[in-house]
Amino acid sequence: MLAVLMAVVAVFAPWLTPHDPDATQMLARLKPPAFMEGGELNHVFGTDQAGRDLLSRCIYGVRVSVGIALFGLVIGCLIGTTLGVISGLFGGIVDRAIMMLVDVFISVPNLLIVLVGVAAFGTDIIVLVFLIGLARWETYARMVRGQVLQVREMPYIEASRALGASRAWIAIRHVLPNIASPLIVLLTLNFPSILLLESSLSFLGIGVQPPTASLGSMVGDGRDHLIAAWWVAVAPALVIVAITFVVQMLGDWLRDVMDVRIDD
Amino acid sequence: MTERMPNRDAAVLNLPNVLEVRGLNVHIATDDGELCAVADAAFSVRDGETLALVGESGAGKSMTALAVMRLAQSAAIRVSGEILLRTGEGEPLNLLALNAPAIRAVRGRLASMVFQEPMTSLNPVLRVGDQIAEAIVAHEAIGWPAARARALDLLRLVGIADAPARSRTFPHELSGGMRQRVMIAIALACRPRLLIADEPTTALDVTVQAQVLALIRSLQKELGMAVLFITHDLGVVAQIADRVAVMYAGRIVEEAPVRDLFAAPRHPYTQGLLRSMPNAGRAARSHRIAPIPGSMPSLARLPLGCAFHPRCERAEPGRCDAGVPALEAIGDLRAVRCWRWREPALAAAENG
Amino acid sequence: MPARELIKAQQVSVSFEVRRAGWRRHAFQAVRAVDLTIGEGEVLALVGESGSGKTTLGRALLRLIEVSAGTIEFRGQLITGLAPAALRPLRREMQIIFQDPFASLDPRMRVGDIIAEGLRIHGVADAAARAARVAQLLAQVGLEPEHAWRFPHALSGGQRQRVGIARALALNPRFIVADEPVSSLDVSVQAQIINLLYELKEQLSLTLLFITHNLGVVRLIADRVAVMYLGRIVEIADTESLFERPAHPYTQTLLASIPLPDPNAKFEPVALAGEMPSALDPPSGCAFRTRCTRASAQCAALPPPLDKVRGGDAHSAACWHPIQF
Repeated sequence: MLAVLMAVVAVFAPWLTPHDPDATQMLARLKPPAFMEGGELNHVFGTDQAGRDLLSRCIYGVRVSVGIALFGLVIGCLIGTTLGVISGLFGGIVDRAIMMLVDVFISVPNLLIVLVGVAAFGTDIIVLVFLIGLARWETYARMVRGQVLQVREMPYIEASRALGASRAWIAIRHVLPNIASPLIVLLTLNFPSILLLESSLSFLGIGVQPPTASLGSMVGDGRDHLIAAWWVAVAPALVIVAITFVVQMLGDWLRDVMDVRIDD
Repeated sequence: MTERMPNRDAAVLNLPNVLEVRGLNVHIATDDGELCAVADAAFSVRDGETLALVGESGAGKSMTALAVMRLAQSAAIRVSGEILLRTGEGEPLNLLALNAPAIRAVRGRLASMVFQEPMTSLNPVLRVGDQIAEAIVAHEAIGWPAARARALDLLRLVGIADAPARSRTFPHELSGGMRQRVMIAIALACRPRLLIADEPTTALDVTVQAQVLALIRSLQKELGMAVLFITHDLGVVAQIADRVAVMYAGRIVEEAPVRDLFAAPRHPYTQGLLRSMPNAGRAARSHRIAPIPGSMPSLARLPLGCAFHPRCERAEPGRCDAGVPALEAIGDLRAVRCWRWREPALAAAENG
Repeated sequence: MPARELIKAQQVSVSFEVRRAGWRRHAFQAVRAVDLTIGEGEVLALVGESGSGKTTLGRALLRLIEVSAGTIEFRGQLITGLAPAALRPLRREMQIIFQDPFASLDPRMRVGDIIAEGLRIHGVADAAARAARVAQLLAQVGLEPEHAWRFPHALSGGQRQRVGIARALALNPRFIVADEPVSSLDVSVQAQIINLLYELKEQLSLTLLFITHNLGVVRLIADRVAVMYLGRIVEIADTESLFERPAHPYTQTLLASIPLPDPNAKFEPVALAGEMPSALDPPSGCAFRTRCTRASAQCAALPPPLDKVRGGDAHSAACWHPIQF
C-alpha cells in the first residue's frame, strides 16, 4: 500500500507538488519545517538555501532517484541473471570465464567503475543508469548461478530433458520460475545500495546535475547548512530511509505472493 | 540366530511390563488449529519382548516414540496421559511427571533411542569412540579412560571388527550400516531396560538391514531388554516382533501377537495392508495386488467416526461414520478397534 | 525372451569424473561393460543396492547420461552418438518415471501444464488438443479432470506419482524406465501404483525397465530380472528361475536378506563379510570376490563373463563358481 502511494506520488509529481521544485524564492531561504517555530504550512518541510520548497524537491527527488535506481536495478539484474543462467546451465569453460569476470568485478569498487564511466561518457542520465546497473550485476550472476546449479539437479528438469526439451526451454520454463523467489529478495536487498550509490554520486556532484533535484544531491546541498538548517539535509535523507524500508516490505510481500505453496 | 525368540506368545504374559503407556494423547498446534497426532494410545512392552508399532507415514508411530522419550516437546506440542517406566524395585516412574534433569537421567540410562538417519544423529566432528564414551560418562561416575575402554567393548558387541581403529574414525568415514551399529552401541552404552528403535533400518540396503536386524535381535536376547520397534515394513515386523500394534491416523487400531496378526488380522486396515504387501517369498499368481483404495487422511481433515471408514469396503453408513470405535479386547492378547469385527464378513476374510 | 529386441546395449560403460583430495581427478566407473537386451513388451527388473549403478544404467539407456564406451540401439537404430536434434524425435518413444514424486514435478507449474509439457515441446500447438489429451491422460491414470488446475503440492504422494506417469505417457512412448517408482510411497498406495503401471503396460503394450531394490515388487511384476553389483550385471534370468535357483552368490545373499512378511518364514540372512568396496577402487577380477565365500584365485585374476549357467534356460550369471541346483 505504502509502495503504491509512493509510486503514485512520484508519477503524478507535477500535479501534486505545491511549488515548482526549481523555483527560487530568495526571501524565503532556509525556512524551518512547519512544525517548528518560524515554519509555515506553505512549506511543510521548510525551504533550502535558495528558498526552494523542500517538500516539492523531495517529491521530484524521489522521482529522479528511484527512477535511476529502478532502471539500474533492472539492467543489472538482466545482465547478471542471463550470465548466471548461462553459467550454471552450460558449465565448463563458459562457466569458468563468466565466474572469472565476476571475481574481477567484485574486486573493483563500484564507485570506481562509475567514476571511470562518468569520466569517459559524461554525466548524461542514461549513462548514469547503465553505469549503476553495471555496478551490481555480479551479485545476481553469482546468486543465480548457485540457484541454477541446485535447480538443475532436480528430477523435474531431468523429466523435461527426457521429453526432449532444449536448454533454452528448460531455462525459461523451469529454472527461471523456480529461482524467482530468491532473485526478488536479492533485488529488494540491492535496491537500497543502488539508491545510495546514486545518492552518493549526486552527493559527490557527479551524478544528477543541478538544478534537477535528486535525493542524493539534496543531501549534498544540505551538508553546508547542517548546523543552521539541519532539515535541508535531513528531509531528503529521511525520504531515502522510508523508500528503502517500503521496498524491503514490498519484496517480502512479493515473495509470499509468488510462492504457490502459500496461496492456493 | 535362526531360531525365534522363545518367549513369543503366551509366555511373555508372565513377565512384568518395562514400559506401560496409558491414555497417551499428543496434540500439535498448527495454523489450522490443533491436530491430534496420537489419540488415546495404550500399550505395554515387557522385559525381553519386542513390540512393533506399525503404520504408514502420518499414522503417529514416530510421534508416539518421541512422546515416550519426552522428546516431543515444544511450545506447539501438548502431551498428556501416563508413561510408566519400571526402574527395578518399587513404583514405576511416570515419565510425563518428571522434571527436565530427571528425564535426562532416564534417557540413555533406562531408556534409549535409535533413529532412522544415522548420519544426522551422530556428531560429525567427534570420533565415534568418544561419542560412545560420552554417553557413558554422562550417566555414570566413571573416568574417560574407563569409558573409552567400555566403548571398545560396545563396538565389539555390535559386531564391528577392529574396534580400536574404528573408534578413532569420524562418522563420515563409516558406511550407513556401520553408523547404525555405532548408534546402537551408543544406545546400549548404559544397558537400558528399554530400547526404542525408530525405523532403524529404513535408510539401509537390504543386506545391511538384515545384519542390523539380526544384531538387534541377538543383543536383545543377550541383554534381555524390551524393544519398541517402529517401522512401516511388514516384512521387518514379521521377522523381529513378538507383538504388533497397528496404527492408523493417530490411533492404535489393532494389537496382537505377531503370528496371530499375520494369520488372522481382524481390522480391515490390517487385512488390506497385508494383502497389498508384495511377497518376495512366493511366486506371483497374477501380476496384480489388492490395494487399499485412497490414502490416509491428513490429521487436519480426519473423517468423522472411524478414520478408516472412507477406505473400508465394509464400512456401514450410520455406524462407522458416526462414532470412533473403542479398542476392544479379544481374549488376553488381542484387541481391535472396529465396529464390525465380530461380523462374519470380517471373520471370513481372515482366511482369504 | 519375447519377440523382438527393443533395446540392445553392448559393452556400455559410464564413468564420472570426481575430484578427491585436492586437484587430482579420478574416474569413477558407475557402469562397467554392460550387455543388456530388452525385448518388446517385456518387464525387466533391474535390482541392486545403492552404488550398484542401476540408476545410472537406466539413465544411460535413455541417453540422459552419456555413455563413455559401448553402444545402445533402440529398435535397431544406434542412439549413442546421435546429435541432440536427431535424438529429439526418439524422446517421444522412451520416457522415465521417477522415484521422488515431490521433486520430479515442477512446483511452479500446474498439473495440466506438467502433463502437457511434452506435447508443447513436440509441437502440439493447439491448446484445445492439448487439453483434451491431458483430460484423457488424467482419466487413464485415475485422476479427476479438475486435478489439471492444481499445483503439485496440493496432491498426495500417490496422486503425484500418477501425474508423473501421465507425463511419461503423454507422447505415447514404447519404452519406459521406471526408477524406483513406488519406493517413497506408503504400502497401501504402493500397491495402487504397481497395479496402475502393470495395467497401462498391458493396455498400451509398453516395455518397462523397472529399477528397484524392492524384491517383493520384482517378483510380482517382472518377466526377467537383472542383478547389479558394483557397476556390472552379475546375474540375469527369468523371474522365477532367479528367485528359486539363484546362481550367483551375491544374488543368493540378496534374496536371503529380504525379511518376508510371514512370521513363520525362516529368516537366515547370510552375513556378508565387510562392506561394498568403493567404486573408485574396485577389486580386481570379480568385484564380489572380497565378500564371497566361494572365491578362489581365479576370481581375483579375471572378471567372470556373463554366461549361461544352465543349458536351454535363459539364465546367465557372471561367476566362476556358480551355485548348481
